[in-house]
Amino acid sequence: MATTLFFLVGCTEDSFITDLSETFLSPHDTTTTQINFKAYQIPPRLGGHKTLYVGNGNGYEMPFSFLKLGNLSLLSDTLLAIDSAYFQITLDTTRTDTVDDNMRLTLGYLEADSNYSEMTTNYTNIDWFSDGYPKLFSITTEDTSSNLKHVRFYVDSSLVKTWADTTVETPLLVLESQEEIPYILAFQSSENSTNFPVLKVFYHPDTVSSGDTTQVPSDTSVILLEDDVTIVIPPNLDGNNFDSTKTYAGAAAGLRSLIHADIESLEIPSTSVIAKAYLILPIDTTTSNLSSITGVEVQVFSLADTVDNWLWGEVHQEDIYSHLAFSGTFSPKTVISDSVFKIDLKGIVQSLVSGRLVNNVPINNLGFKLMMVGSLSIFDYVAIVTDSTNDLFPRLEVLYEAP
Amino acid sequence: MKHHRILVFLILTVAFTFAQSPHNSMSYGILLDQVDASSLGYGTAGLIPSSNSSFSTRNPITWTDLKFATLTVHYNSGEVEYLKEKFRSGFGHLSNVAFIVPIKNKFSWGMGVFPLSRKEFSFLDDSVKTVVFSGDTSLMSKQLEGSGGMSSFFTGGSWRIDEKNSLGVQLDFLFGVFNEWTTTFLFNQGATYRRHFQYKGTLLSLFYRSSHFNSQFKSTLYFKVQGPVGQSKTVQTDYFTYVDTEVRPSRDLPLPVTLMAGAVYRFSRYTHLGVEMLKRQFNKNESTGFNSLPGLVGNASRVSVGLLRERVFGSRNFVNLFHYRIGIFQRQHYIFSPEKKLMERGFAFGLGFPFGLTQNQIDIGIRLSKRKSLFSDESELIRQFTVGLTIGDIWLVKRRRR
Repeated sequence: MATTLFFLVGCTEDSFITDLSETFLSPHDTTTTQINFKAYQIPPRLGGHKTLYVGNGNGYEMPFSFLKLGNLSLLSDTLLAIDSAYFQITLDTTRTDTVDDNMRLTLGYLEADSNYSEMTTNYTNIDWFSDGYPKLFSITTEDTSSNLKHVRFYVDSSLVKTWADTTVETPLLVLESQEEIPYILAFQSSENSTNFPVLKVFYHPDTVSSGDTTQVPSDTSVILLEDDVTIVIPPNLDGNNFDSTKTYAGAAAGLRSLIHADIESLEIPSTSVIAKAYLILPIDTTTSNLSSITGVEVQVFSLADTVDNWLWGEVHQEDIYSHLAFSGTFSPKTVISDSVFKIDLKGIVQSLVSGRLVNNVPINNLGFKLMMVGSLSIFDYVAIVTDSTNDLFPRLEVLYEAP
Repeated sequence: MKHHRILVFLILTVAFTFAQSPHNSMSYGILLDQVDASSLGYGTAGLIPSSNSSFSTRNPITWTDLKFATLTVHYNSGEVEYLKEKFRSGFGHLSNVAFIVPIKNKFSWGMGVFPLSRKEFSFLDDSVKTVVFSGDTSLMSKQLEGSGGMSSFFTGGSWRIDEKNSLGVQLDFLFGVFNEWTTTFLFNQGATYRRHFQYKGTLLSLFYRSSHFNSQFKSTLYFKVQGPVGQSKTVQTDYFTYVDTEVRPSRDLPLPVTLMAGAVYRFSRYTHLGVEMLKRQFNKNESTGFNSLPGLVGNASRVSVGLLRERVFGSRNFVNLFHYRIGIFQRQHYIFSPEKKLMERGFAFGLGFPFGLTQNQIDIGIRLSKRKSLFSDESELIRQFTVGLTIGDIWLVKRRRR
């Protein structure tokens, strides 16, 4: 009876161990060095950074930074009497070339143009901005307790009242040097949580106007910035400033690269599962401009359109090479390791190999766009070796499992 | 009521469990030659009578000897053990259901269903491989599993031409599906490739019984020839991880030609010796396309010898109330590896207990066999237990008015 019951219900399902190396889904690796590169340049858009710059250095020109004041309507109350006010901005000594005890800066102010935008304004699209606006002059102070250097611009009470007028646009401030300086001054931007730029206004109730003669203490209002951006004119992408045998990526330099790897020549079956795919890009540290190897991050995006030509050194007013931003069309951020970027393209290659649809259109191998998305300094740029005869040569390595 | 539910649950749990064997990964898997308890206990493949001296569920010619319409149901269970108990796989499934109607001892008709093969298997790669790629290292594991099989819906009949000659015919309509999954795990990512097969085909069997030597040599001879007729085809559908399902064009389903011959020698009124031989040949010496591991399809053979002692009618001795069966067999399966044949040898025994006036019977068969594995030097040990219930009645027979 017991045997019978065992026969009926004693069903164990152990797997048999055998050699499965000849079955489906065996791994294959393949590599291509057939890669085209194209470096191009666009005006840098530097809104959202934690530092504002003024000055010149490393081939960059930073003639001014725009600062948009926040809402001052609180101060428009006619029953308030403005005692005094100053605009303060704090020097970022870690990024400033030369710390001058008496920085000669001006703070211009003008009515903000509707075309101004922190995220898009750059040196090529500020036709609306011209000289002739009034300016305030700086006084440098030092906080001995914190060793912070502040630059202050004192604003008289009538100007504060003018700025607070709710019938006109909040003013746009322009921070610049009184004369051209051969070094770079860096300041804390509004993106910081401390020591950000502020307009401090000291006021008290206007007892004469109100008829209330009771003595009341003065009060202080701190007006924050709405946004700010530095206008940067980078070195032009040409044979004088850059090596045309390299391709580049940099934020303030406005440098980006197009890359096309001949994935089709790898003949990866469309039914494959991509286990690994690396785009390996060696760095030429001698022609790169890096404040530090660490912290440099790049990212690769699939191009949305065909690239008509692959000539090095195009300069455009805006980025004409649009890219996709769907899952599976861009890489994770990649840092430099052993003098190479080892960019994980698994998702992208999988999408290309399996003909993934985006908006009912298959993703094609039109190329990739390489952008710098992180660095310790916005002036950093990397030079990437494109020569396949180099010891460290660019290549695409793919490991896939095919049915 | 509670016990009834437990019984139903138990039956449902085990009714469709099939033994996995590594050999099921090749072609159609192991073909199940015997499907009823009496043939299993006799060691035969169903051509010669095994239920008693004149009836076999699998041979239409023997159906004319029935006196009542018969419903027969068989359940097969057991286990496959290999590598010295390291791996053990149990199974249990309905192995045959048939409804048979004899017509005036001259003709017969029957229909039923039985499983022809099962492709249950589960493999793990024999080593977790180390894959080094671009300076990264990962362990790679792989698993291969299969599930499904082929069954037959059959219908057939026979004609007793005279006392010495009988003819029978049977059509087996084959149907089934097979799913195979290959799964790998590499660099923290799984990949799966699934193949799904649907197949259908038809086999035509012709049977002949000769009793010409019955009086002189106390022997009856049985013959069967079976081959594919009509269109037999399979459709493969592939399922991938990232791309759409692909349905491949249908292709021919290679089916074998089978020749069987058997003889029953009557020692005495109640004791019979049966010999049965089978030769199976595929018309195409090629892979069926269902192979998950490398394997070949070729000729198969089977030979068995059994001894049957029938119940002694009228005896009050308890021992004489049963049919007793015992047999041995040797079988060469149709699947090969390039280096080895798949040979199986076994021993079987069983009991049959007839009861009632309408040829009712309970059968029990036990078979123990050893199969040399194509995948290791160790043999598979197969233990099978089949129980069958045969009920006779006067279904479909016009009853006389009283």
